[in-house]
Amino acid sequence: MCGSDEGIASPDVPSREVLGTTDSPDVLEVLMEADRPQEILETLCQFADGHTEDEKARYVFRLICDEFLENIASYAYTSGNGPVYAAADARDGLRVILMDKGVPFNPLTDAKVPDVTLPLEEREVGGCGILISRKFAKRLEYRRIDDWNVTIAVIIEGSED
Amino acid sequence: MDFETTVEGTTVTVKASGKLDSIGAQEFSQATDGLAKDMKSIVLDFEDVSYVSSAGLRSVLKLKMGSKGVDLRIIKAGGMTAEIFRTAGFGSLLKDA
Repeated sequence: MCGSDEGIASPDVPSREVLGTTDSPDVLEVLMEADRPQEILETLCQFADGHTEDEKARYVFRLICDEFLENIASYAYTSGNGPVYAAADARDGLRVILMDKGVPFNPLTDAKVPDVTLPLEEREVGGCGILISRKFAKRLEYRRIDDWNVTIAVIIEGSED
Repeated sequence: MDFETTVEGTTVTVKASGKLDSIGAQEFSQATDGLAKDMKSIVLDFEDVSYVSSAGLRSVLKLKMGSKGVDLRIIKAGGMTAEIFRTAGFGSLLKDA
């Protein structure tokens, strides 16, 4: 696993339940404090760029990781900071898995989605991140495993999707 | 991000380049602060904006909100960037060059 912060205890990340074994050059794992979203993002995107030539897929990958990492950094931990686990899996297609131990949050049901039919002058600021993630991901999935929010986004469908 | 601002009469054009992500959005907001003053039209040339996230969308919306009475338009937004603007309901800002 790369990107682990030295000095923080490694939490019990339920990565095996989602990824199975991760000993593969086509899987990247990152474990960091949630308040470093840009660092995590660039690490993930560098991996994705090395595993697909598809420019749109690269764009969507960055977009989805960006949105979820920023949301975790902003809202997951109400008092202080906490861990975020991110994995990019290119063994069959391309997907990203994001986990945090913050407040329970299901992006498929708990997010406030803006009314995009309103004139811009009447729009509320916010909510577009989940909207565009839902639109551009091939599939979004949420699970709650132990104390972890687990979000899985498929960007390139694999043979088993 | 980089910004190049030109004024012609009561139209100000901002040519932006780079990623309009959370960091770019802060830079965009700083670059466009007070832009609408004494202007009738703001043109955002996004030909070289390679990426936009929801943070970028928020910064454009804030500019729109702070520019009442001023025509705001985005030109030359390409491919995915334009599609994101449309998905978020910002399609009315997109104009052909």
